[in-house]
Amino acid sequence: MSAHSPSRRASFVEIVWPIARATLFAGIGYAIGAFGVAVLRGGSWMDQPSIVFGFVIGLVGWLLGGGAFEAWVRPWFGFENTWNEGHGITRFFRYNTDHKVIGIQYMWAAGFAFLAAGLVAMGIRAELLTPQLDFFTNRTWYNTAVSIHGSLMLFSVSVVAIVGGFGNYFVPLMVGADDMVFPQVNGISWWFVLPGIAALLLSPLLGGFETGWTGYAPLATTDEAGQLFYYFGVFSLGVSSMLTGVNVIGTAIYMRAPGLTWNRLPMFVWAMMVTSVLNVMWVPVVGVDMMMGVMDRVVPTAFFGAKGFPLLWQDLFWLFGHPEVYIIMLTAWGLWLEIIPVFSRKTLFAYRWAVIGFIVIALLSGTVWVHHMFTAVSEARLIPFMTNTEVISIPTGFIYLSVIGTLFQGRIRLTTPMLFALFSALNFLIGGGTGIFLADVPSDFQLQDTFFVVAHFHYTILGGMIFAWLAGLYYWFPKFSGRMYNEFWGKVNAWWMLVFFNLTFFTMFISGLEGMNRRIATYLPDLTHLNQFTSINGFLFGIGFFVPLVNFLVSAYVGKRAPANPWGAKTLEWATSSPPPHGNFEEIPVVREDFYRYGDVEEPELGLFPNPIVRSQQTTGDD
Amino acid sequence: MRDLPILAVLWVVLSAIGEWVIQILVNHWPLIASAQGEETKYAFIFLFRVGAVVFIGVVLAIVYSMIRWRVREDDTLDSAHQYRSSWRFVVPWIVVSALLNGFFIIHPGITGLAKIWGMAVAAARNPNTIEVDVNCKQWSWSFDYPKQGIFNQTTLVLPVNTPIKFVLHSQDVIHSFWVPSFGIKKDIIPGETRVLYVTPNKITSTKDNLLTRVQCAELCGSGHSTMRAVVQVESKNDFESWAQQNGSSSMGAGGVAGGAS
Repeated sequence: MSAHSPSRRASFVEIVWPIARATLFAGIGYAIGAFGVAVLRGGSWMDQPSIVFGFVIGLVGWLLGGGAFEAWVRPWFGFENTWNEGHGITRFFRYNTDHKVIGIQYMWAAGFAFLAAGLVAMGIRAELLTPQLDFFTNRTWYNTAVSIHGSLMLFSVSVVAIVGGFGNYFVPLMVGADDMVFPQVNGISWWFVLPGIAALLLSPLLGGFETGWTGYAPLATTDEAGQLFYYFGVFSLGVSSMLTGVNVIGTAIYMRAPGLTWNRLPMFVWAMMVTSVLNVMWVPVVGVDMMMGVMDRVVPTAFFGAKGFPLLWQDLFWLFGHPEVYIIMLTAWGLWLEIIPVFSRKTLFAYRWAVIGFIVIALLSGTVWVHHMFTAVSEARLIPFMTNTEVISIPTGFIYLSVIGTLFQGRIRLTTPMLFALFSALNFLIGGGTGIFLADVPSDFQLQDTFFVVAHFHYTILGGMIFAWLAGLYYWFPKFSGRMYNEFWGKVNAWWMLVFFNLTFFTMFISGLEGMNRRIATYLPDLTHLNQFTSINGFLFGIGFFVPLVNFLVSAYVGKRAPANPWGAKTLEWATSSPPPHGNFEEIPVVREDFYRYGDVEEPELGLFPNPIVRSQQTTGDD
Repeated sequence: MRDLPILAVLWVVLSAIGEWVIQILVNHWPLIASAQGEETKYAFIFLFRVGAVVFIGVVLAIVYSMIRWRVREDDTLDSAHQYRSSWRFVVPWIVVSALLNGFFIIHPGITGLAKIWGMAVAAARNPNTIEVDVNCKQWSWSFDYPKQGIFNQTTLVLPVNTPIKFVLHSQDVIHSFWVPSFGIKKDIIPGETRVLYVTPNKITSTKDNLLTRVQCAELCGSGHSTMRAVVQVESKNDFESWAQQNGSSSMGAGGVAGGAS
């Protein structure tokens, strides 16, 4: 029984009305807030205080319209929860408390934001085809495009796609639970995502914002009012991340099936859990930063102006912003270590070192943020933060240790998910490796704020995390759709992306060394050829995303029926049907051994350190 | 098991090729025309050379495995070689990565900084150091030479092989003072005064090489991309005569203003 074949066909109205009602309520809320404040203050509804109250009350209206009125507010006052959670495809577009539905809601929202932000990136590359300003009508729109691209990609794709999407869908399945620990909180958390995406996309209505995704004050205090939508958009997306974080931590701690000890916890669950701890710890910091930004513009306070501390914004932003890099990358590492043993038919190598790596990275991640500010801070802060930043590469190395040790002497099947996972590991190696140049203060003095940095973080986030996201989508597509994707087009997708991703972004390292700084609409003519090469390959890379889009959409309806466990994987999500029924398992499973046990390798002994080599006497393989 | 010797040989050969390619790149490196820039360039190239060996080793291990141990996709047998860990691999890995890290922190990290700071200390004590006040706002640069009595220049004229003390001020938002060929930059924070010492060591100009230009490197609004200024690094004699021409007529007034600033 597929998730997409409901007992009766849903009409279009049934699908869209919850979101339509939420939008209507949001509009009414916005009008009440904006006009109310305008009347009380005697100003215009386009004034900044009006916008602030408009957005806040609009957000409340959105939540109520989306289903919170029936499912949350009515029970508070002792009435029955009358919300209908829908059936079939309608579930994905309305308030729903099933973790699998919420996972897919997060995935489509992140996918939508990814395509929108990717389209904006195409515009940026079109502008950079020539040294002059020609694609955008003025420089403000170019800067706004750069800002929207960055903000959407970071706040509504990178931290949402895997944690919100796969995290929601698979953490309960992988720990053998019937749902998340707080289903109602989980249901509402997704409703903070769309307002965040909408605010960022609609910021041009208020003149856009020119600060990039980092929102540096005091520029942010003086530029267009679209900056307010940046502050609120990021805040709203942050609320969603925190709520999901609480849920994932609670589920991983309290909902594990009998026998699922910490020693046996799947790597993906470890990754989600550590990521969620980082989310719950650091997202509030950026939330405070955003609200201080709003106050600087509206009250106005003077936190970040010349009379306050302009660097305070950067300190708070990066105090969140660098852990965020690990919030993003841990998810990818979790996926690598989940996928690679399955397609190598080999026991995960050095499981404990990989877990130690995750945890040490999380501990260090809050101590490195000043490396984003080496050219701005006093000299006293340089050496400690350079040291911390370089040291974090040691635990990161543990993940590669685990990857290489698992691949070595395996029986490697290069299916699409495996290709994407390995390509992600190769791309991230370039991303992480070039990080050494940026962690080193002397060479960073030259590289800071150049295209070298742009290339570096695209290698980590796009080449690392987005490739891993695709690996996960292909790996788990049979599980959540009940059908197989097209393997041929999957492989075309993987190789196409590897080639054009590298052609596009490797050139940016060279542009950076050749003196091209970040976030510029026009450049000097000596950089023309490099930029044209980047742009053309960038367009080809962008077009490549239609391949998985079509593959998934078509395969979801006409693909071959997927068995419960097409890959021969051992984690618990494969122990139930594809797609899993409501409640996941017919009975809660009991775990008797770890999930990475291939051949006849022994169970690990308890204790911190790994066992010596256990060579199998009887071989199950034939090589 | 012949895989390890084969991997070792491949690693050595590919690393040698990698170092050869890096040498070609170094020979065609973008212009660096300051003593501080030589340090930041040295740090980059040093990390590049050492990092390349590690990078090639890891890529080789992954790609070699993909080719050497590949099986057909319908082959689902478990590998005959199963182990959970191996001290012979884990211990060297951790020891080498930790040592390499410690090494990179000290060199070129701390040693590079020590050299750049050493140059700054020497320049601060050097009576021949030329002070240039850099004033920036959205979206333009202007340069004052208080000791020479020259003000509000839109072109940055500098003598070669002389330490320059740039005193950085911003009137509005955060900017960043960067001459790409000087190989170093410093952010300019409104309300604060930052100092950057640079010793240009090659005669060059924006006309000769576009890397020799003042470029704002921190996003500062819609005019950010064109917030540039022309730079001319001249011989000391040429600089003296330029300073005479532009500063001499107002030498008295310039001296007063220079003293007052």
